[in-house]
Amino acid sequence: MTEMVVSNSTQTTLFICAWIFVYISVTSRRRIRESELTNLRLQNSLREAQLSHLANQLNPHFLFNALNNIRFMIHENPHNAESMVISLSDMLRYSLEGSKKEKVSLREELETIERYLALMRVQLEHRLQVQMDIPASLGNYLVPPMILQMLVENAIKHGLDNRREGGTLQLSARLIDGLLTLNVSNDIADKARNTTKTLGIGLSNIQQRLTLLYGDSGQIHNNEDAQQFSVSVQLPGETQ
Amino acid sequence: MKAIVVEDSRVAREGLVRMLHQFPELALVGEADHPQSALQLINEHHPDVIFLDIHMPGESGFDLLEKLDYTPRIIFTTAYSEYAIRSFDYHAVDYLLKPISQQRLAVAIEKLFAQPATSALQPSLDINSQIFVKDDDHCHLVPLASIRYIESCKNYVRIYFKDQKAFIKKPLNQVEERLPTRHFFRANRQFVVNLQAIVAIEEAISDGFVLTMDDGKQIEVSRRNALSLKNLLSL
Repeated sequence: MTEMVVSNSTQTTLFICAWIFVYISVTSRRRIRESELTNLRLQNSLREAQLSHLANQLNPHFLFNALNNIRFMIHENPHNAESMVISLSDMLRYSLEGSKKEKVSLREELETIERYLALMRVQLEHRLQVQMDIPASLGNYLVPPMILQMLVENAIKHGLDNRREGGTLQLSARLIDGLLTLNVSNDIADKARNTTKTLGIGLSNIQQRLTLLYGDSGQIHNNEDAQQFSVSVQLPGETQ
Repeated sequence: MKAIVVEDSRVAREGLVRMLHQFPELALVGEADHPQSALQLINEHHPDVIFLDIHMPGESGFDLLEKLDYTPRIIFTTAYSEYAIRSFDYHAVDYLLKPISQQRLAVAIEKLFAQPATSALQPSLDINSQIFVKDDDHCHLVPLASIRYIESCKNYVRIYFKDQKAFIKKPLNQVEERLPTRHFFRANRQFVVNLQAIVAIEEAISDGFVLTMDDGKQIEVSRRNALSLKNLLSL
């Protein structure tokens, strides 16, 4: 009788063990698949952002205007023409290969923005005013590549370039309580803005990337009043 | 041949002007950095040809063309090929893509001198003539005298005749050129009216006149055109 009880309890134990084994292997496999999926989604959205950025950057309007300006600058000021060629090639290189990383230093991102602004200054001249307020100490903090760059391009394309008198582009960065906040704002055209739709797609794409990289601590907000459009991006302050 | 250059980027504008200096057959009478300043220049100088950029801040080159009282020859200069098809609507002489080569520019200028201006090709019509209009599936043979007024709708015009209306795919400026000036009058930017179809003229609050047409439609005469209406209708 006791023998039977013992063998019965061994059987139960064995059964429970087997069941736990199956349960753990199933759930862990599911967890692995889930994290693989998140990873894939992240890669996918990064790729998407790269593609849309590439399309944006190699936008024929920007590219051919830049080439046209360089061409005439050769007569006007050969030294300027040379630096324009360098800026354009560095920008194209960053677009084509530099953006494969998940994160870059804020310094690197700002270098590309400077090149872009240098080229746009030749096109827009006094119509483009830039106020940059970014403490040098934040240069080593990490940001996802091309987010800030995309916001700057949008600010010019949909904001300043639609105003005959041009306007001011403001760029700022702050580190508060371990959170890095980047802000891009620009003067807007008086006429109704007809480009909000594409702008919306760009912004939601950025939000998606931030969520995948940082979860709830990655945020993007935009704000618009009669004179200004501004976008701020918030992410955890990380250094290399 | 008088020419002006309209281009918002200074570097590009001055560069194009420098290139145009190679063509002594063109007399450059002005340059503008925006459609608004261009409009003043054009009204002042009545150039024969405009070298026109399309994408400019707040207003496009096409918007500028809609505001002109006559049809100058147009050579578009742009970084983008996407507007090429639309440029046909404005009877562009040529469509140059930036960066523009000196050779390509020479071809455009050759075309400019090879094609006589459209108005010289076609004499204006007699008031007793009829015009053929195909609007969708309907064909009309419209006696000019039966047209009450013609309305500009972007690149098209709509003609109102008898109790009907029909579209013609031509800008109002071009249609106006072919109408007999003693019978048809440009009341404002949007309307050309048949003088015979006016039943009443009243003074408007703002310097011009208001015409009442024989179908009851009221059309304002702009201050600028009021004087020529007075001349047309005086003894």
